Amino acid sequence: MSVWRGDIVANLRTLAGVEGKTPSEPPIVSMGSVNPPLIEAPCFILDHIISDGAQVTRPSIDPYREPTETEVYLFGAGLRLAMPIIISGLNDIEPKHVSPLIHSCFRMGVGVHLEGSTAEEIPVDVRRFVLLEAEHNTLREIDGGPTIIRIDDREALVKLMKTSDATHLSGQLAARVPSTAEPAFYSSIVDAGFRVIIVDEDLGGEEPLEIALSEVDQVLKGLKVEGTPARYEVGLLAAASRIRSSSDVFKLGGLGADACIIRDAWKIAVDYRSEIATSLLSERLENLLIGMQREIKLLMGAAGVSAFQSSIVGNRELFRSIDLPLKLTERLGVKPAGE
Amino acid sequence: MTGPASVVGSKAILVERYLPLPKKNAREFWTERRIEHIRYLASCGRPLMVWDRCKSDTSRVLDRLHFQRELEEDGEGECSYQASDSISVSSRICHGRLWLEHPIYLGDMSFGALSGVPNIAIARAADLTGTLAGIGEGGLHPEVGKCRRIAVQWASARFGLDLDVLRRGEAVVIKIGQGAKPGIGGHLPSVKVVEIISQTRRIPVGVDAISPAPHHDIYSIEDLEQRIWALKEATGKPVLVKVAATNYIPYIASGVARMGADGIIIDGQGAGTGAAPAVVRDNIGLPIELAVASADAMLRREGLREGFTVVAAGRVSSAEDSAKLIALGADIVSIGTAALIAMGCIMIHKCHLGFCPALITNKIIDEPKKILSLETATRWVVNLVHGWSSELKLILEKVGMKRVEELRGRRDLLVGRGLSDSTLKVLEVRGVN
Repeated sequence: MSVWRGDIVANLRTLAGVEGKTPSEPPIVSMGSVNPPLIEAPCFILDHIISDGAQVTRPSIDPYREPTETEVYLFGAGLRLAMPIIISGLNDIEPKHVSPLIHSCFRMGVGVHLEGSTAEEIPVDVRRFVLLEAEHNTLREIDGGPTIIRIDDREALVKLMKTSDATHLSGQLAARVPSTAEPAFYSSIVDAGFRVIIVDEDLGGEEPLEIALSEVDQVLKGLKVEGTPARYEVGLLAAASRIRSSSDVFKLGGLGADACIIRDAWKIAVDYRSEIATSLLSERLENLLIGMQREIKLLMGAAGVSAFQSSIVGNRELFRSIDLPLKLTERLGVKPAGE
Repeated sequence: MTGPASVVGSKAILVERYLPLPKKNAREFWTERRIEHIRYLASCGRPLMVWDRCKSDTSRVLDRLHFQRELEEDGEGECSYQASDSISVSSRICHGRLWLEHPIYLGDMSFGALSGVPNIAIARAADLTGTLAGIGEGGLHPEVGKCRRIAVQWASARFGLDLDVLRRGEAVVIKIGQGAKPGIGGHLPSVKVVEIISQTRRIPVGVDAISPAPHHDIYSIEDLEQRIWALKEATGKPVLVKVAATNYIPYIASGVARMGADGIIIDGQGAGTGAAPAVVRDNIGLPIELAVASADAMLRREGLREGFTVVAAGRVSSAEDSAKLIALGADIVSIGTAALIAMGCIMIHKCHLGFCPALITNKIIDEPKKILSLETATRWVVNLVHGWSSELKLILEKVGMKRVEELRGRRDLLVGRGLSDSTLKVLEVRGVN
């Protein structure tokens, strides 16, 4: 069964303005939901997770009329994103579109994850918003902006530290790792000096993204960096091409992700084809991002939460699981619905 | 204000037949078989089956629950007989202050979301069947106001409410939340806000009517207590509190009971709506079966269950659904979508656009070419209630009970098939293979 169900694609395209007449407005629907896991078949653990609606004992917040904050900070306050979203997958699109789309993300306050480019190719004014992936897993590319290094396992980390001839790295460094739940691996990444960890299911790994992410979050909460809990110092990002929507971003936030790296969803939303005018692609991407931010605000408001990073990220208590085995709910740290 | 003559337009063609069901590709809870079952009940008011065969169409938690009794017998096909006359489904609710002939509440659907005729049909059907109809948030339609068995809703926008309106019904419903959009307010799209809606709700024409997400005078459980008692004193009627089924539903239910409400309407995930943001509808809220089971357990533990009424709402599609929800701890069920289907809804999910082909949720216009026949729509809903109760009586007969009240909380009669250990634990129901 396809991950990209018809209603998910239609929702994305409506936000982007490819379909419908109200770009950036969260689509309105009517009558009962058919969402997974109970009517549509669930694809992932995310499909079994629901968020809270605040009522009676604490009020909900009306995001149409009251302020709600979606910004997140990474590398201390070194990188501020206006919403918990980073766009990726730009390396395989037509080169002429890349720079304008990076500028679109910049205008929206959204990060960009760039692979296969060099620092010189990135417009100077937006460099600080771009998480640039160092080629060949080396530190050569470091130039002051955020840099990602792919680390597949502990051996790779040891090797990297040897070649860089350092015991502790500094700068805005992110480690992109497979979806694994190995506490020792994550603590050595933190020890090495990385201040963002990207759990990327597309790199493989033996655990589903949800489980790995939730466990890393909990491992980091138990570690300390110079006396403070590591989780305050180290940002956590979730990446997978199967991250489909703002609700996925929101739920992954609940499992610990400060932000999500989106690879395929935006291309589907803007109906990416190389022959489409760059300006139109930019417009659609900006529409999409505003729309996703509004959807995240709706979910936050409904849950009675006014700030994403401080109150959603890692706040498993706000979520419940529907019909998952007890063992899995314990690993996720998400209670079964009704408990 | 427009009277009955213009609501039932004199020149319009009266629609008295069901539309054929469109073929659909997407999955749906309200499958063709479920709709056909409801249409059968609505057409003749007689039972079609004892055990709900449509439950194999979907995999709700409720669909995977069975009465042990059903598994003990060879699946019976269609049935044409009625249960013994000695079996009663009437229910006393709200600390004995209201008497219902059937354990059914006809869901809270507003005038505005529905286009007038369906609102009147539901309210008249409630009078004719001795049930109770919630009027929803949109103020009181003058014809609905002539009916006795209505519950007036007091929601966050207070559309069209004054003391006179509040006193019209048998009960007052404080609407805190609804299953299709927990945590956010009601939404009537601007296209449907026409002159008569503007008058009833006392809002401008052509503007989205978006109710505040919270009640701005209910920010705590103590605030809720004040509103409950203020409404009780102002009206002298029982007060029910309608909430969505959310994570903390057991605590909310016990809080609502402790603050003096006479009952709670718990609206589960998958419940209908006239308009809601997809992202909210699809990602928030518990299925009603889990919410009812956990709320009932908490109320019993706290000694608050006696006399207090639990109404289960959201995807209630058959008598067997009611029976199972009652066995899990509800007193009565709320029927919303099923009542719309009885009036001809074909489930195309276009209510928010105002072009309902079944003429149920369409925008109200001055000289419509076609209009739903009030007489027929009323008859359909009355028949639905009778047919539904006949099937419920057959289930009671099968499990050896004389009164529906005996069924309440009898989880021991149920077994779960293919449910996770976590789900069975919350339901307090045995699992079988």
